[in-house]
Amino acid sequence: MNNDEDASLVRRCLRGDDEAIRQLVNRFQAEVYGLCVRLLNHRHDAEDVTQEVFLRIFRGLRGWDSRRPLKPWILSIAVNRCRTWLSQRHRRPEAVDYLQDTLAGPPADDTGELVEEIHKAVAELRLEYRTAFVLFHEQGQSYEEIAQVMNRPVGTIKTWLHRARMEILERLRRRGMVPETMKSEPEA
Amino acid sequence: MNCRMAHDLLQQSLDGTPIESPEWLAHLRHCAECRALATAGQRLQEGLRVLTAPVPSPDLAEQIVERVRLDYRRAQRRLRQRWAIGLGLAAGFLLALAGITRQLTLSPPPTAMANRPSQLPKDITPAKRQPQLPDSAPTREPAAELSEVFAELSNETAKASEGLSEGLEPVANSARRAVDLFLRELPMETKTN
Repeated sequence: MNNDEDASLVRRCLRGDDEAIRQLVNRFQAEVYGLCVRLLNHRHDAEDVTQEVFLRIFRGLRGWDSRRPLKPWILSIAVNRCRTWLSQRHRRPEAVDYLQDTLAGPPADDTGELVEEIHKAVAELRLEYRTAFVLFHEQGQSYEEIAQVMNRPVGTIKTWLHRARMEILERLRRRGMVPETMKSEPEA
Repeated sequence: MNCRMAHDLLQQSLDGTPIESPEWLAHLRHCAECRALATAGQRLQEGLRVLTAPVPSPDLAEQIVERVRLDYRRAQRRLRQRWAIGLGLAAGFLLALAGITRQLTLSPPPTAMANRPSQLPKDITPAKRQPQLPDSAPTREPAAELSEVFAELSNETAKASEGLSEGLEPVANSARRAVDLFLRELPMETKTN
């Protein structure tokens, strides 16, 4: 869907068109929910926050700049909402939730374990790194789009993403998810 | 190639750019640390390929739509209340204006002013300051004339005020009706389909 179609959909939503509201929710709910699950590490919280995110989206639709793409704007609201939620969750009882994502294909050898380790590693990243990682690797956003979502320069996003990857790689190594490599050859 | 450059190439590879650099491969052959990281990078890519996005519960979309509709209804109600308050204030202002105008029409004409020498124009001298002449009738004429002028002015003002209040009455009535209509708290029915 291009920008014109987005703008048309938003205009219909602003007129109170039920079908347009439903269309917008159906279009973005999986991405918003997926992002919330990864950032909050808690499915039930993610559902609550997803609902709040959409309320804020519809309340703020008039403020959306129709010259800009809709998706980064929506994801930025989701990121901000998750950040607020996490800052408040420190004062609530610790949320424990085990993510049970299914694999795209049949599990081969240790793939299930590998996916679980990646999830755990992502969950342990600090929020900025985690957000950049999830937006890039799971939401398929470019560096520029992530910069827009997180309201930071592209260089900062690159740094955060690279550090996030390095931390995950180190964890995979520590947890034995990387096969032993051959001994180094002497440098010629 | 040093380790720093090898790390940069690994990041590019994780960005999705295929790396076919003989120097990199040569570096990996003799640097165990970079080789382990590169292998971990491959494992990460394998894991990300089979990773699926979390699936929301089937009724989440419907719950969201319902909450959004409810929020819209609340916003519309708040807007109607603001309009009602605004109209009420406007109507109150108009009524107050009409009341003040009416009050002005009922107040007595300022005929007493003629008897207050200090407020008379300088060219009009009160009768008692005039030297006593045998015939005092002509000396009273300016004061009487002024009194008549004031009385006439007062009558004109009264007529104009009455006209104004009559003219404002339909406006005030319609504003009152509008306020009643908005305050009637009708349940808001919106389209469900």
